[in-house]
Amino acid sequence: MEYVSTPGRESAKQRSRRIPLDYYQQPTRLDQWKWRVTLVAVILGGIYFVWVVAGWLAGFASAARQWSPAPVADVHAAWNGQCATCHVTGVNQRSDGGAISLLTAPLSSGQSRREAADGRCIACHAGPAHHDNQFAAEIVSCAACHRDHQGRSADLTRVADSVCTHCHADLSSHRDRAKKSVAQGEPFANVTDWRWHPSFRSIGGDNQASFADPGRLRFNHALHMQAGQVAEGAKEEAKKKWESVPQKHWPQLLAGQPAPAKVDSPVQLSCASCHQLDDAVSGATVPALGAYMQPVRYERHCAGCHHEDLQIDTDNKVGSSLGELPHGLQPDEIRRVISGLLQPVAPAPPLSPAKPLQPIPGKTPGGNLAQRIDDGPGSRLVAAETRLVEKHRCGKCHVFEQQGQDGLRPAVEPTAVPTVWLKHARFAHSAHRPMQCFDCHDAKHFAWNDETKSTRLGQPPIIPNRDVCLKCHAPTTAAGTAGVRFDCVECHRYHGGDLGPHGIGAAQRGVPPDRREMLQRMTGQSGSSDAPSSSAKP
Amino acid sequence: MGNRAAICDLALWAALLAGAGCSLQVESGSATGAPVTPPVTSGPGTYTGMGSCASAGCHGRPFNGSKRDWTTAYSVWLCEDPHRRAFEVLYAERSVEMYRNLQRATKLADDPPADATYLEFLEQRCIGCHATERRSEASSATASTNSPSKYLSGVHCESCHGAAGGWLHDHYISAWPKPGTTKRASLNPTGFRDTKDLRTRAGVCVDCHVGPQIHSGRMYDVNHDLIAAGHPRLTFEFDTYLENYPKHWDAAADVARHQQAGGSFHVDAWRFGQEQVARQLVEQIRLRLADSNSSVADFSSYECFDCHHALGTHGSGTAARGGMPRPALAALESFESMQPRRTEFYGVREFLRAGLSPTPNQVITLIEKVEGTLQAIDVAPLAPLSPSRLSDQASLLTALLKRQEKQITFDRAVQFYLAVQALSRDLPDDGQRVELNVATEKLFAALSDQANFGTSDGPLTQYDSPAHFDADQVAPHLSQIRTILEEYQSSSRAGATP
Repeated sequence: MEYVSTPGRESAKQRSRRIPLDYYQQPTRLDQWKWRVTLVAVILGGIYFVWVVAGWLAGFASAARQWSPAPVADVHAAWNGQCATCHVTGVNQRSDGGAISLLTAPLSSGQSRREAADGRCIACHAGPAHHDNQFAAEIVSCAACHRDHQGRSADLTRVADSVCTHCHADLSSHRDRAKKSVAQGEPFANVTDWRWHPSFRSIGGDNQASFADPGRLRFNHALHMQAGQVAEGAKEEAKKKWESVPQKHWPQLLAGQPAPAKVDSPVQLSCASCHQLDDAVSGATVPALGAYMQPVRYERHCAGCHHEDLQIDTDNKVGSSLGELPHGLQPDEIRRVISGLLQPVAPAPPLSPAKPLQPIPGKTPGGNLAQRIDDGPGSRLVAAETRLVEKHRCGKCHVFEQQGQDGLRPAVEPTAVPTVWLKHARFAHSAHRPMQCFDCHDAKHFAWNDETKSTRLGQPPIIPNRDVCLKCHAPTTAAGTAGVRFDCVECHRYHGGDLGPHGIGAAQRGVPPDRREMLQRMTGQSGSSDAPSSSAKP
Repeated sequence: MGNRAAICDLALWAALLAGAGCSLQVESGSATGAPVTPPVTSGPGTYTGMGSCASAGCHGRPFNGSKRDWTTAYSVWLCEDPHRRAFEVLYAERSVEMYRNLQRATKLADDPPADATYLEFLEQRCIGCHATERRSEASSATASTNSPSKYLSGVHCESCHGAAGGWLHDHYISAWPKPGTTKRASLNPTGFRDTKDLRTRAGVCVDCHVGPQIHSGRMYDVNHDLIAAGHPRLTFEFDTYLENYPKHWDAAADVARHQQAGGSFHVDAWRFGQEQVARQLVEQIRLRLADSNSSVADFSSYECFDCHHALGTHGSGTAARGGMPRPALAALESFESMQPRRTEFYGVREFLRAGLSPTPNQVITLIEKVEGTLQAIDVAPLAPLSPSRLSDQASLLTALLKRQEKQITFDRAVQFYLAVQALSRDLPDDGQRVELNVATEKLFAALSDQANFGTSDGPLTQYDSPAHFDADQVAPHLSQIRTILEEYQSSSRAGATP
């Protein structure tokens, strides 16, 4: 008879048949699968590894790309698969890198880590030094700041603020005092954050109201913005009228406004009558950026109204002016010009009154000694010079030296009006084209009041300071204002120090030398200044 | 670090102070280092120079020969005005001859004189009338060297229109009082001389054309010394000189404005000229009294030929014919025409009668009289000009002539001639005027003949006065003119409008 256990319950025998005796020596299903999956993974991994390494060595682009964390920026996309274009074997692209550098050190060829890393970049890019007094050890490689492999649309020039504040948060610790460069001035204030950016030093910093314009030209904006360029409340006949401005100057002074309905209406100037961007020049050979305003020039912007100031009226023959003096001559040159013009071909006729005379017995009206003596060049010269050169004439706008040099008469000082005010940053008017002049340049300087009516020389410049910029270049406020980019590189550049306007890699990009020189001159970097001279072309 | 900073600060301050001290020295031109007060450079009475007026946007618009008005004032002056060369004439041979004559008492160091010597002489004797005062601040071009170039512009804007320091920046503002309004008188303290007003204009001229002039604190007087050395006599008649003057203003508008205000331009100009000359003669006496270098009664106050005559004759002056010595440089009976104040003027004339050596008491009395006269002129205006001023003028002239026909001298005849010319310019263009002009032409011819005395080369205009004046040659013409004037008076009284 069969042993029947409880129905549903397995007997001992059955159990002994189910479970082998050496079950504890056999792997479980879990273990088996673990081993299987592991094996498959390792094999697949090995194939992948072999494929990546062998394929990379063999030059398969698809294999080489496996090494990169992200595609390179689109400016380098042509070489996305050719890693050797930028990477050097055994060299860490980031010279400030940590442990990896230690590992690769034995493989470098004796160059500094930075030079080795930069070797490929400088084949196309110039990365001029930032400042003379950086510690050599702190000058890092290109890739330390310009991180590639961030994706196609990454902007390589947008480096993080931390890269700048690494030194600029505590400048005194990062200046090598052993290196004294000639161009060193006061160190900049420390900046840890955009909020701590100081006021602009080129325009007086925090004391802009007491900063004197270095330009040596007397000019009053408020007066010129008045209708007729006269004081408030002046008589109608004292105002400058369009009819006395030669027609050829009208387009410049009107600056796009319609022509006046009546020629005897007062002249009303606008900002654009004198201030034009550098992209407005027709016939420029180098595409201009529209960043800066062109310098104001007499021949273009002032001559329309001020040309009468240069008439040489000395000839006592009524109705014949000797012509208009060219602008830009020094007093001694003016004297030579007028003396030359005054050399009489025929003796000058005597002064004559305009109407028939009332004769006086015993006297000679109309033929007195003063009217008969030879009108020598002496007095005519002085008369003409007085009108032209006296301190209220050229001196109406220009400043004279205190003493003449080498026996010459005191000359007119160079005007030296800065063309570019903010020399340590890039500013582009074209980028701000949706704005109006008075949105940034305080309109109070152009309104006629007791303060502005007497401004002439050495007044604070009407250039907006940091606070005006921060109205927009700051994080978005709760009200929804501001929000324009405010990182360091929005305005500042690292390479080339103060030669920012060059643009990076100017030499390699083939920017013509004369444009580079012009840009240098505009920022006052080179030896020459904006001085007018008699040899300057109009 | 702190010590170094402190020493640097001290050094900086020391350098700044030294620099400031040096620059002050240079500006003041004081070589000895004596303390010098900085010159006053603005405010009433300070001179700003011609350069500011000459701006093309103000008064120096280019002059093309036709438009003479305030915009071309400077340019017209430059082209036509003899005042421009008032300084240059000082370098003509005639002027250098005067220099030699004046230095005759002292031996001349060099002849012709060195530039510096001559300039020094000019600055002492001549600059007051022959140039305009310079700006108060030293011009950097000429501060170190004394050069005639600072005077070469001659007599210019501020000599007549007043030193501009106090009104330069106000006169182009609409609030500037218009000519003819009462507020215009409030401008006097600023130094502005209202040349639109005929009376003030006459007063401007007589400062130099009668004298003496004050320039930089010194008195410049054309006295007998200067006339003896060769300087022309300062005879003056305002309307005539104004007529001959190359005007740097709109003359037609000027006349029209005066006529519209109810005036009669030429006759009024004559009257104002007489008044201002008389006033200036009194002022001349006062200034000569105050100046220690002048004689109280200078010879130039008398007629030339009261003294300059041959021995044995009495000359041709008034005194010779038993009349009173009269100022030679006076306008036509200026004192007598100054109704109703002629008594004061007579008082002044009495002094001159007292001769050349007054007693101290006489001097004191004179001073009082002079001051009183000047005050009377300033306080009381002339009698109001009547609408019938032309016939009044005619009657005035006839009265004067009647009084003096027996004692007419050359100067007085010339002044009379000029007065009649002034009247004729205002008369309407009709037969009477033509008749008057014909008669005055004859008078002029007679006078010119007499004036052309001297050498056969022509008129000797240095003293423009004949040594031997024959009144009989001139008398018939004078009486004819008087007849015409009396006819005119009666016809205008009969109802014709003057």
